[in-house]
Amino acid sequence: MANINISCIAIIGKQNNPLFIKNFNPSHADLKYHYIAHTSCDVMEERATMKAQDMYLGVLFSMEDLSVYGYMTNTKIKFITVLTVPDVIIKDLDMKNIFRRIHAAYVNHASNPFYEIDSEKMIKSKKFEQEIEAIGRGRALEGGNRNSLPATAP
Amino acid sequence: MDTYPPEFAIHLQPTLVVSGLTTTEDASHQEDVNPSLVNNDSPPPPPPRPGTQSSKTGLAAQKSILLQAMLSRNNVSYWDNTKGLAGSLFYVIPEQAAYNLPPTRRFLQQTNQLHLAQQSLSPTAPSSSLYPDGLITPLWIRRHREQIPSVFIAVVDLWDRESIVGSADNGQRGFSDKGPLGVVDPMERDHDTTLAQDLLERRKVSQERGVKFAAVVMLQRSHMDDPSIEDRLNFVRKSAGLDLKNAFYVLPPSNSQEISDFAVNLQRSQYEGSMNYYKEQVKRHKKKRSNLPSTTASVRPGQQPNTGGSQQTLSVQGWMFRYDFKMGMFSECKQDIDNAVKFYESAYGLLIDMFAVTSTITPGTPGLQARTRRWAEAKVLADCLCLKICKFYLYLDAPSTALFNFRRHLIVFKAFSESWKMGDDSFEYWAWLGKQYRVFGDLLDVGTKAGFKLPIPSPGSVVYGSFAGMTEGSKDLNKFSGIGVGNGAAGFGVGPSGDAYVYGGSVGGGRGGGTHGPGAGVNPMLVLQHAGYFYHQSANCSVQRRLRFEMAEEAYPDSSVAPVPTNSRPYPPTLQSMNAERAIDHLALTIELLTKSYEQFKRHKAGRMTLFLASEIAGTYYTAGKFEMALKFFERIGKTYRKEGWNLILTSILKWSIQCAKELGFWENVVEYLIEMMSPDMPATETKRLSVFDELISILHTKIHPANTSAHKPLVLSMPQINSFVSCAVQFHTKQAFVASASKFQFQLATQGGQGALPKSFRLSYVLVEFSDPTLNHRFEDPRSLDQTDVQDSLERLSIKDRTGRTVEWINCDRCTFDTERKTWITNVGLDINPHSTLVIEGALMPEKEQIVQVTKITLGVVTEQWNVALEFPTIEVAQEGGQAGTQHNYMPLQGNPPRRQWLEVSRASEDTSSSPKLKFKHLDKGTKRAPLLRVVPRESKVEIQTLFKSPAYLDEFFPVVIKVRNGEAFPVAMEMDVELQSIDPSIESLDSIVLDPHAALKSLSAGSFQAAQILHGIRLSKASSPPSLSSVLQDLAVGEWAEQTIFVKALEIPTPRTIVCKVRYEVSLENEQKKSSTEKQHAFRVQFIPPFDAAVDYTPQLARVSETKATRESETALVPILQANVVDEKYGAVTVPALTHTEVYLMSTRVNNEGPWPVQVKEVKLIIGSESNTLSETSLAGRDGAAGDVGGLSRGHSISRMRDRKKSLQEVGIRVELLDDSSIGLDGAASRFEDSEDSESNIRPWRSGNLQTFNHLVRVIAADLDMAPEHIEVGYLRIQWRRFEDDGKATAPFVVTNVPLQPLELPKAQPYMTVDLPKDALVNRPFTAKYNIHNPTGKTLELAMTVEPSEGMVYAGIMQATLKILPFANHSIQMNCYPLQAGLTRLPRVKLVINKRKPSRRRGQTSHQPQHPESHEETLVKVRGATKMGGPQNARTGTGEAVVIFVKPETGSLE
Repeated sequence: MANINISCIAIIGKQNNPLFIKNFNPSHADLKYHYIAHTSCDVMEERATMKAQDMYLGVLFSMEDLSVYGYMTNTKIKFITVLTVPDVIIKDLDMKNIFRRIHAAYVNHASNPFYEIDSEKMIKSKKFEQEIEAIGRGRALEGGNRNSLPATAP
Repeated sequence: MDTYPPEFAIHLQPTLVVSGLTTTEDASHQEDVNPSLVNNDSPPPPPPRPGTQSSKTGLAAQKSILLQAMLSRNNVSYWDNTKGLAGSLFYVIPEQAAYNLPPTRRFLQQTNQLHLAQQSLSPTAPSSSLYPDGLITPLWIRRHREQIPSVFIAVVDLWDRESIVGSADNGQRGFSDKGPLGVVDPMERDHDTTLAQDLLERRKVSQERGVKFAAVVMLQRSHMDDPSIEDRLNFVRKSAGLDLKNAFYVLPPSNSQEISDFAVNLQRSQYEGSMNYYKEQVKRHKKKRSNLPSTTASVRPGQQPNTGGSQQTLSVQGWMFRYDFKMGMFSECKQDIDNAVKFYESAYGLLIDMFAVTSTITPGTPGLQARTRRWAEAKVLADCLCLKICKFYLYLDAPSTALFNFRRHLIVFKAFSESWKMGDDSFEYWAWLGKQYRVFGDLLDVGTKAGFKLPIPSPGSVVYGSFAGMTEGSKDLNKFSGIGVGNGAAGFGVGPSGDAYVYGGSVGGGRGGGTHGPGAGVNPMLVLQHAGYFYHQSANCSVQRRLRFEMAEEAYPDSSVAPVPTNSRPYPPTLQSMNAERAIDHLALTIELLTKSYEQFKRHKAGRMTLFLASEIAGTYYTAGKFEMALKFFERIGKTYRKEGWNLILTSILKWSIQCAKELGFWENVVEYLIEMMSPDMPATETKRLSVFDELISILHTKIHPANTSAHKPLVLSMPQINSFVSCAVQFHTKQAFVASASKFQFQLATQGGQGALPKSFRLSYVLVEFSDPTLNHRFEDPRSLDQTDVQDSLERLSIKDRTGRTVEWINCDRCTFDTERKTWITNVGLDINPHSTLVIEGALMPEKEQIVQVTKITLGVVTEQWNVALEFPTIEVAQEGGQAGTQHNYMPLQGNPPRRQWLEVSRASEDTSSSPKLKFKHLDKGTKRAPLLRVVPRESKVEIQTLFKSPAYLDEFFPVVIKVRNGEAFPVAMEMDVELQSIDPSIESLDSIVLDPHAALKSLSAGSFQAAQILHGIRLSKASSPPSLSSVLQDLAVGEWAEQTIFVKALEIPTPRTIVCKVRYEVSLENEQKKSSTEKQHAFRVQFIPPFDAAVDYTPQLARVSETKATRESETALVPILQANVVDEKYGAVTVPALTHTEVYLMSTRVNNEGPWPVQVKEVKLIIGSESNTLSETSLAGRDGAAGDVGGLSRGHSISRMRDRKKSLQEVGIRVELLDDSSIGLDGAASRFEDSEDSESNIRPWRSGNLQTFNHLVRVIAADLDMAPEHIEVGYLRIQWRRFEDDGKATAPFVVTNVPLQPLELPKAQPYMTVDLPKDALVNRPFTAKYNIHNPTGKTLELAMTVEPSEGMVYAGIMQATLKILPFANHSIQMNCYPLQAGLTRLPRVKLVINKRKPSRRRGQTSHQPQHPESHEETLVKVRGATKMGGPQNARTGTGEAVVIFVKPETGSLE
């Protein structure tokens, strides 16, 4: 995990609309990550058709010093993590863990009965932002791992 | 890629020289072409086309075809991964016929002809461009590619006599004719020897060089007939010392296909030799390399020449590099990619080391000086080497390794660049970097086009390099660790010999498919992507380069003054590079690269990536000042981002677009973009928002604004297409409204977003609400000028703040005036959109016709002197496209997903006027989401309809129904009514009818002109008192008055309920208009119909009469009826055969029951015999019974005729029914008829409900032939003339006729029977004689078996068993003498007669109505009929019973 340097976490709805984009790396403008998140939709959809079993889609593409990883839920919600790459091997397991945490945070948020899942509006939730912030900054969540999904059986 | 020397970049192949196929001119031409090729970017051009040689002789043509075939596969340039024999085998160089290989240097030395040697390319030769310390020159590669082949093929032709034909030596021909002994023509031999000498010479030179030599002899047509040709060829070959195999070929004249096959085979056969040649070359250079002094040892000698002057010779490391490079090159020619990459990598390593300040391989040797010629050469060489290495790794399907090498190259040179004072703050570095990316992109592009497949880095299918690979990778890099690359050794996950991926393999515990070992992972930087990414990277570099260059130019603007070198960053560029850079169009370059990238992404179907690139292209165009181009791009890409809700990107695009549009003076666009920018969905700071707002207002309202030099065209913006800052909706208060009544609607205009989304009030000039009925359109106008803030209108306004702080303002605008010019309803109202507020305008509309009112469009308009901006919110069209639009985004609230029905309700405190009314949004229809829609229906009718009738009704009667209609409207109306009797089953023509006047109907019925009508149209209703009429003038019915109309319903046959519908129509004139609206009210009711009577009949056979008549007839005609003559029946006109005729008399006892609940008056009951009614009824009955009888008869006639269709009429089967006696006693006044007396009619006593009347009729049934007679005979029916009895005695309805069907009569079957003739009584012990008569009424001879069963009380003496035969229609009598033994009712011995059926009689050959069962052994018993003589009432009707009994008197009772 130590070598993973998250620059951005983005969540994209099933209509390829942005739901949440958080920039952790001040060296690039938000706009850049919006563009990256948007462009990764195509790659994810292409990947997902090739391989449907796993939600984790691996590295989608690298652009300049940024590497984009993707994860698509069964409901076609797309999670994107952009890493600033220090030229090391990124373990799939680490990435999967990050995505699982994002997924858990999203599921928590979507479980709110007042959240309209199909509203296509940007997510505005303090709690959710905190959770993503914690993931992005590489901090453990307060309160242990209560938000993580049960690990899929190997 | 093309900017590098092509020798370094192209894919090298073994070289083959073929001589003799081109003429001198061609060859020299070829020479000219080749040098130019060096700098040309295209692959070696094909040699001159053979088309120019069409005039040549046949041999020349053959040669040109061969040459063409040889060169046809010469087109390999950068990429050839076909490996060896499968691909294009050789790089073929055509040379002229006299060509020979250049002699080796050793040979020249030996012969002291060194001056003839080619210019040496070695750095040791002073004439070389490399002298004294150059590394390698492209010329060297070119020499090996084009001048020193691995295979030399000489194409020669055999001398032919034909060639001298036409010259003066014609006479020698006879002499030189070949004799049969094969005498060799000396002239030929002469030429052949020369040729062989020539070939030998060439072979020797080739051998010296190790080059494979082969000769091809091309024959001509004339040679083919020459018998000595074999000898000649052998001679030449042997003389030249050529091997038969793979060194000497003969090509006879052939077609082009054969020649090209020959060319391929020729190359194939030479391929091995070529490989050997290059193998030797590699060996030779390996030896040379091993002979070099060790690098460490060379340090000292290296220093010595250094002191001598500036002429520094090439270091040992340089020589090592040379040899490595050469070995790599030869391996590449050999297509030995594995070794080639090894040698090249080694060479690359050596070369990189030379760039360092001091070399690590030859310690102490100083590195190349920056910006020197050698340095520049070496840099190009390093780039090319890297490219080659990458390419070879791609050939080897190791994409990550290729990428690793590429990235390593970049990292290494970045570090060097720093030390060369051209780090990443110099345009030179970025130019170089951009070039590297671009070249790599080119390589990938070429590769993928040639069939290289990019890896797909998805987990599961690939397991990535593990730590093992990573450590190997770091070891690999350790080679370069000493060159000060910094932390470049952090580790790449690549093994030196393999790829980062292990396809299909497993690393650690990981398996493809789902789980991965803990070590599974990938370095994303080593995932090879398609060329688009590299072009994009290159474009980015180009942008950086431009920026650096602009900075540099700012610092050093003078193109003639060299920048003063400083030691502070950024380091100044040299004047030369500055001037070179000035010539470059950076923006064009960037656009070119981006476009290349765009195309790559397009090819890889990454649509969104292309949008991103398009935005970058647009940005570049903007920078380049091509605003129109930029705007076009922005507009195109903005759509997708808008559609998918990427508002941050959209905002950026809008900002750019506004800039472009301003530059271009497209102010309409500026306004459009600014309006969209006002949307709260566009992320912006508050100040930015305010500036957007102010700018918009200033454009729209400021006259002196540069935008407003002239009036603009009306600008119409379709708001659903863009993000809106306001939302619009129209709601109707109710879903349904009546014509001409006012319905309220609210127009809601709400700002989007929360507080601060709209910085200031925005004033609209008008709001136009358009409905589907254009006459209802409403236009609210704000006539104030911008600076006028007070509201002038006198409309009722209410305003509150809700919990979220939103201002809700309500304006009552229900009194609009109709503008006849514009055909709209208009009112003036203040239309300020205040920040964070909702404006609700309540209006009312009054639709004038029946319709469905929808809101089609809402337009918000801003009109100033120069501007007319309309923001349109269409609703209907969009709602219809709902399916597709519904899934879209939240900025289209009116589309597909309509808002909840919301109504701002004003609740006023009823009495307390001081407290302000309350405003509250309420959900209508429980907040269903529905598009606004108002259904306008006709006004509700206020007419009241009542019906009066006495249910149930009887069938056949004219059933009176009184319909009462009350005018409940507020003014008198004239009404018309339609009454319709709905048929029970639409498929059957109904006989039911509905009439107004039953008497008239009855008359027309009797006249035969009656039409059964189920509908009565246009009954004009008038006051209850006045008589109804169809023709009178339509009279108005006063308010509240009742109109009354009686109709009569006559239903026939089917006793089910009928539905009667009456519709009352009238017109109401509207209050304000002259137009009238038609109104209709319907009322439906059901009437149950039941049959009025029910009749049950008993048929009693009247045997007494039968026997009477029989007796008389028998007495007259003896016992043989068969002998009687046939009688013609006068009455029926039928011939009866007396023998077959069977007559029976029945007493019909009919009980008629009044079933219904109502009393009826019965005028007449008459039995109509079936046969009569069928044949004679019409005339006779009509005559007798008059009109009344006919009604029923006719109406009934339908049904009877229908029955007749089904069954054979009685007449056909020969049955006659005659009414002998009618004892219709029991009717009032007996059978008297009161047709002509009104009084008597009313005097008829009514039959109350449940009353029963019995009628007796005596009928005679005469069957002409019982065999043909049916089982059931329809005797007839009862015709009852009746009417409903009203208790008040006022019967309005006329008498009607009902025909009551009667049960059929069962006729006895024609079968044998017995009758018994007994004495009245018998005495005990006194014998008596019983006489049994056996009748056979059938037409068959019967065989009967008779048995007599004894009886207890009687003694019988006689035959106990016998068999009888009875002829048809004959009788047979049996006499039994019995002796009673006991008194009382005693049974006679039973005579049992059984018809012997085992002998079926088919005498008459007809299909009998008695079904015969030949196989059946069942006995048919002959029954005793009419045993009436026996005493006892209990047996009176059991004449056909089992036993025949007699009353035996006791002996004492006797008179004797």
